[in-house]
Amino acid sequence: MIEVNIYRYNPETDKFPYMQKFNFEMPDRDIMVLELLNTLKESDPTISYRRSCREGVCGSDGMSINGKNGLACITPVSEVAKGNKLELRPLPGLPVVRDLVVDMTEFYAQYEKIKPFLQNDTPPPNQERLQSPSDRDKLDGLYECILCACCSTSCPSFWWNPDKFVGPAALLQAYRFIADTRDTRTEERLESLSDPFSVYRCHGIMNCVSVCPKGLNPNKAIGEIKSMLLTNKRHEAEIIASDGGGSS
Amino acid sequence: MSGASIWYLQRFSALLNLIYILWLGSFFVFNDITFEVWSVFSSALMFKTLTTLVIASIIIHSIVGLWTVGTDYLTPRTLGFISSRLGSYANHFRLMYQLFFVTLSVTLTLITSFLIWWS
Repeated sequence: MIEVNIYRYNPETDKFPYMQKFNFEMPDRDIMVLELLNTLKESDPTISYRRSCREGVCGSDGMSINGKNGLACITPVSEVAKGNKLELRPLPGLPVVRDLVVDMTEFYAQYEKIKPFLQNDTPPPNQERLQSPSDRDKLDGLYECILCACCSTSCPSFWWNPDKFVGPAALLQAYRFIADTRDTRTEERLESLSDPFSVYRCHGIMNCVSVCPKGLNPNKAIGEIKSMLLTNKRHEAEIIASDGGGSS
Repeated sequence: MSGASIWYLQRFSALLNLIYILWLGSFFVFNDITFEVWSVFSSALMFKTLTTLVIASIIIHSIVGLWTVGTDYLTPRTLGFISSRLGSYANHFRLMYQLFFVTLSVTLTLITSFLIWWS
């Protein structure tokens, strides 16, 4: 039997949020936090949370599990339940819509800001824009992000300035396109991040790295962007881009 | 000012402060300090110039650091976590806070410059 405390808040009926206690009988096998929530929802259908793929691909069920952000569907209860206690809260820093569901508007606004799509001004070839295997390798560890927001919502700089600091998730994606040799807008991308808030509010505390359910390293990508801004690499990037963008 | 310029300002000023502390520290450690020794050392042009430079450096370093703290913690968002009423006054609090440390910086610069060059 484990004690599960769940953050509850329904703006239509509750003046303030509160923690609701449930006693949960663990089955003989280990289960994921999502399965525990699904079972509790059978007895109390008002518990609200997002979920979809239930295998760590869609990134819907990010939440704070015993104080650490993670995906409920790939987090085994045995790994996180300390002293047979489990506390589930919504992702910190974002407005709560209901129970464990948060309003992701600010998170997506930052993602939109970095223009997460390939931009290439040169005429497209007949089939596709090719890359050398070594250029393609540069994207490993960047493209795998599922936008679950576990990293950005574990970052104090994002809590304090979600409208100005781009946040680790979107910065990882920004670097994914900066590092892409097929993209010709490196100069413009770096320029849009050159103010004192967008990137430089990252102080490298690495919460993002410790919580990423996909094992990615946004801090490293942020370091690369900072390094390019500090050493004025954008001008070199511009020269490379003007040579035709991308190698084949 | 760009983020990179502020980043460089903060690092270079920190480096300058560290070098000055080590230089001054080594003077105290490797000399028998008497009024005469200190008087000769502190009236030298090098001491006066370096100390003035370091005062400027300390002020730049503090302003960048305190501005970062202010724009993190004295915002409608952050104070709003405590109370929405408090959050609505956050920009006023931040302005007062910035005015306070700018005034303090100017005052300290004037006092220390006077002590170094004219006393």
